[in-house]
Amino acid sequence: MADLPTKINLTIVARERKIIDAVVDEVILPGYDGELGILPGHTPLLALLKIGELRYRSGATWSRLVISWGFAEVLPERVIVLAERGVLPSEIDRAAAEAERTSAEKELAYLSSHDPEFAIVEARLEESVALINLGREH
Amino acid sequence: MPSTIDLRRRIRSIKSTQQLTKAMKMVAAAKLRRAQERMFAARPYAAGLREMLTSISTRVNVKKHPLLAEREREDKVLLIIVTADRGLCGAFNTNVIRGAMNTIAEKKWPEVQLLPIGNKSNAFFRRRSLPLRRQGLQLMQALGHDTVREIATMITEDFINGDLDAVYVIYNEFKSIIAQKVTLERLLPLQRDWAEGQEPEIEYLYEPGPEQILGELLPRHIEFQLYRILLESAAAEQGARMTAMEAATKNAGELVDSLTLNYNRIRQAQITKEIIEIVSGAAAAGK
Repeated sequence: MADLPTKINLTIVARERKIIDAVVDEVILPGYDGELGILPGHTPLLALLKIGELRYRSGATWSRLVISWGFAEVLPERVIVLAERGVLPSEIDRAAAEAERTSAEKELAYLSSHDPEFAIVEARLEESVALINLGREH
Repeated sequence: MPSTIDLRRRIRSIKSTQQLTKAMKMVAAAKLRRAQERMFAARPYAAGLREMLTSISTRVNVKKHPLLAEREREDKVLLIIVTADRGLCGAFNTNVIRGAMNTIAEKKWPEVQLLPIGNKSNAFFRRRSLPLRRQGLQLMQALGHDTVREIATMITEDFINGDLDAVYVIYNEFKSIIAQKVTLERLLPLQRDWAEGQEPEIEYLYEPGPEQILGELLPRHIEFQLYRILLESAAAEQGARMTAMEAATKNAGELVDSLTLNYNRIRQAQITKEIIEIVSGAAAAGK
C-alpha cells in the first residue's frame, strides 16, 4: 500500500497577496454546504467556499482566519485556497467590523430578499459577524 | 545677439524645469515599483484560477456555458479603452486612443459602444460622435475591486441578455519597464486560454457540483481579467512616464550645456571688448 502523506501543505492566496504558506496537520474549510474537515491523504476535491472561518492545526495549536468567498483545491498532500479576501486575527479591526455590521443590518431591513442588492449586503453582514466572532476571542 | 541677462534667465528657467522632470521621474519610479508589486501579487491568484478552470473544463461541457459560447455575429460590441488619468507620459495615451480609432475603423462593427477608463480617454471620446456606455473617470487612481466588479457585472449581464455580442479591451500591456505595447483583448465571450481537452490527471470530487462551481468561477475570472488589465496599464503608465521624464531631463541638460557655452562666449567677448577699449584708451592717453 502506498504511504499516505502525514502532513498537508496549506497555501491560502487572496487576490492581492499570499496569506499563508505552511505545513499543517489538519484543515477545516468553510464549505458551501457546511464545514469540511481535511486530513492528510484526503481524496482530491474541488470545493466552493463561503464566507466564514478557516481553521488549521499544526501540532496541537489551532490557527484561524476569516476568508470571504473562495475556492479550495484539495489534494492528498496539498490544500490550495483561493479567497476573495482573507483576514488574519491580528488584522481585525473590531470597531470597523461592528460598524459594518450595524450598517449592513440597517440596510438589510429596507431591502426585500429578491433585491440583487440583498445578497451583497448580506455578504457584508456575514463577513462582519465572522470577523467580530474571531476578533472577540483574540 | 541675446544679452547675457536674457541667457542667464533662460538657463535658470530650464534648470528649474529639469528639476521638475527629475522629480517626476523619481516619483514615477517609486509608483512603478508599487504597481509592479501589485501586479506580481495578483499572479498566484490568477494561476490558481486558471488551474481550477482547466480542471473543471475537463469534466463539464464548457461550451454550454453562456459566458463561453461563441456568437455567430459580432453586431453589438463594447470597446473598453484604458488610458491614464494624467498626461506627461510620452505617447502612452495617444497610442491607445489611436489604436482604438483604428480598431473601430478596421473591424466595422455595426454597433459600437465605448467605455473609456481614465481621464484622458474620457476627455477624448466625450467630444466624438460614438456612443459612450458610461464614463470611467478617476478609476485608475483608486483602482479597487469594487469598481472593477461593478463594470464586470454590468458587461456580463448585458452579454447574457444579448445586449452585447462581444466585449473588447484595448490597453497598454506592460512588456518591461521601458516598453509598452497596445493590445486588443477579447473579454467576452471568454477566451479559453487555459488548457482544454486533456485527460484529467486527477479525479476530483466536486462540492457542490461542477456546473455550479463553473458558474461561480467564470464571473470571477472575467472580473479578475479586467482587474489584471487595469493593473498592467497602471504599471505601464508609470513606466512610460519614467522614460518620458528621463528623456526630458536629458534634453534639458543638453539645452543648459549649449546655452551655458553660448553665455560664456558672449561674456568672454564682452570682457575682451572692454579690455581692448581700456587698453586702446590708455594707449591713446599715454601718447
